[in-house]
Amino acid sequence: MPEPIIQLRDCTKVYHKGGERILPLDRLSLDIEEGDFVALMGPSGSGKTTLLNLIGGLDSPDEGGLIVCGQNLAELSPRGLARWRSRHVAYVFQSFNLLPVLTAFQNVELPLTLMPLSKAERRRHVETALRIVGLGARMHHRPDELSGGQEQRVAIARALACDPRLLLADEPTGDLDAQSAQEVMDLLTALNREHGKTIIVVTHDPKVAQCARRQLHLEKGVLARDTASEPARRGGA
Amino acid sequence: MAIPFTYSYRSIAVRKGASAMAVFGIALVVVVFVVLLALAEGFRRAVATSGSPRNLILLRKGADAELQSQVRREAARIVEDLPVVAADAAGERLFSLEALTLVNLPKKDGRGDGYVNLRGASPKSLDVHEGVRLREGRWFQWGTNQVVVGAALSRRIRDFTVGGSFVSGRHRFEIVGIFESGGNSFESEVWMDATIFMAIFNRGDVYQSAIFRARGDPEAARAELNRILEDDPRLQSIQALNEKEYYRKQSELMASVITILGGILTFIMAIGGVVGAMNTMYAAVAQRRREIGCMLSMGFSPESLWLAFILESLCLAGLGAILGCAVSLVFDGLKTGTTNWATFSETAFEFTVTPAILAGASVLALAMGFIGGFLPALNASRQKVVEALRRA
Repeated sequence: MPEPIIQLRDCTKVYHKGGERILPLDRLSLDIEEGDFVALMGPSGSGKTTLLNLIGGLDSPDEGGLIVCGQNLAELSPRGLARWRSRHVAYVFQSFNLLPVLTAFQNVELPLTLMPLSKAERRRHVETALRIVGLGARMHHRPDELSGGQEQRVAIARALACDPRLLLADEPTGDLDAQSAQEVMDLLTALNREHGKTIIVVTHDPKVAQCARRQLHLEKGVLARDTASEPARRGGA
Repeated sequence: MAIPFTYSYRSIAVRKGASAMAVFGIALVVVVFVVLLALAEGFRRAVATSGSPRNLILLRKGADAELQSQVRREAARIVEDLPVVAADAAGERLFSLEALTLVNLPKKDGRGDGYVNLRGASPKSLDVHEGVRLREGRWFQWGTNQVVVGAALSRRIRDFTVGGSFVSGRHRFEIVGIFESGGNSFESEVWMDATIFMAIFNRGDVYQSAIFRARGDPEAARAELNRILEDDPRLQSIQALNEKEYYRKQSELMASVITILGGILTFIMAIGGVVGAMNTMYAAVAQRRREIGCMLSMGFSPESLWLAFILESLCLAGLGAILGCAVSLVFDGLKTGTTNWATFSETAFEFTVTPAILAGASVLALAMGFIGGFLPALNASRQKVVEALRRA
């Protein structure tokens, strides 16, 4: 039995706001298997994004332990954590976060510059990633020359380019119209099924959540429900 | 691994207005810096290039300038016969006994009067002073009160043209020619026959200086002559200097004053330029927090973020340097003049922009960019990734 790709043990995160103690995560324990497609759901402030940030090594728990991709993140220095992120994790954000001054090609190439690759190898990775997301013909366009759906697909290509084991998406369809949202979710589903990527998506949208194999419902920092389902096919949501 | 340079320089164009203000601010400082140094350099070149390294000049001991000096004819004649003085092909000594005074004349631009050096020259003056040649008219006739005027003065003093004249005291001097001397300070003088000069100005036998071509190595000749001057009681009131060195010292005071004042002005303006660049870069960091968070999330190090923003600031400064240098080149060769505080006489010269000045100005601009960008870049590199992504 392989080790889960994500193992959270009694993770607690505490914020202090105006003298008030806020617990976005309260002794949360969780395992996620490699190759899984998980939707994190719950009301605002339930701890979804905080959990995503802990898994991605962007933030650290105040209590508890966390092993991701076989690495105990507490053992890494900030520099080591940055290096680990560049090799294992990729993010897709609600507002795409593409660098507006770079072309689609250059945006996708950006994380690859952190890897020991030649220029020709980088080009090959970028072209492959952009082809997978269906934007091979628009690689020299800047973000402001693309639609919202295309921008998000470039962001997914950027996430894919480094071939990460773990893809974390924070409300990836939040800024998209229904059709673009469906296209993005189809893409994520394909990446999970055909490329074996472990994907965790934070979402409020039940239709998006139905694309996932597993749905985790958080409430006030604790896991309220953990349901597994066969993801819906396109158009069946 | 560094963030691609493309990101840094393209980001400048995103905030065109703010970037343009920062670039103009830095360019303005560069222009002021270049123009003031070009002024000092032009003055220095005009004065410091006046003498010949092969010549020695006799002055009264302790005199810093010819106008303060007194050299008696008798003492000069003794030196003229010494072996340290070179001779021409005809065997005549290349030795010129010269007198100098200031005459007050109206400037061409109507902005008051200027003091002009009137030099009494000897028949060997043209052989001793290298590079002096007639540009217009003819040389003055010996034994008359005819004069030739320097080309630089002809542009600055009223009626300084061939056929013109000027009055000093009870005497009228007729201008018969204009000479040039490669832009050095002789071009800011009026030359006439020293014998007539001495009579008109009642100088008796007291001249201001004697300039002569040294035989052999000028430095060895100077040392030998100064030893002789020390030993001979008739010559102990005079000293020998290298003519080139003498004029170099003449240029130092004024050039230093311009450079120091220019330095102070540039420093004050540079503070403004730095603040402008800093303001622009802080705005850039604030506007791009999400991009910063995104790059940190990808695994870029804080140092690479710092470098990207410093490079952006340096790009702004580089554009300012290019613009400033280009504008300041307009001043290159522009003719101007001022009173030389060492001689109290009007000295005409050209703004001289040199590659060294442009390089210095570019370094200054880049330093402004670095200082102005340092704190904003540090701010960018210290962003907490979660905070940066959340604030966006």
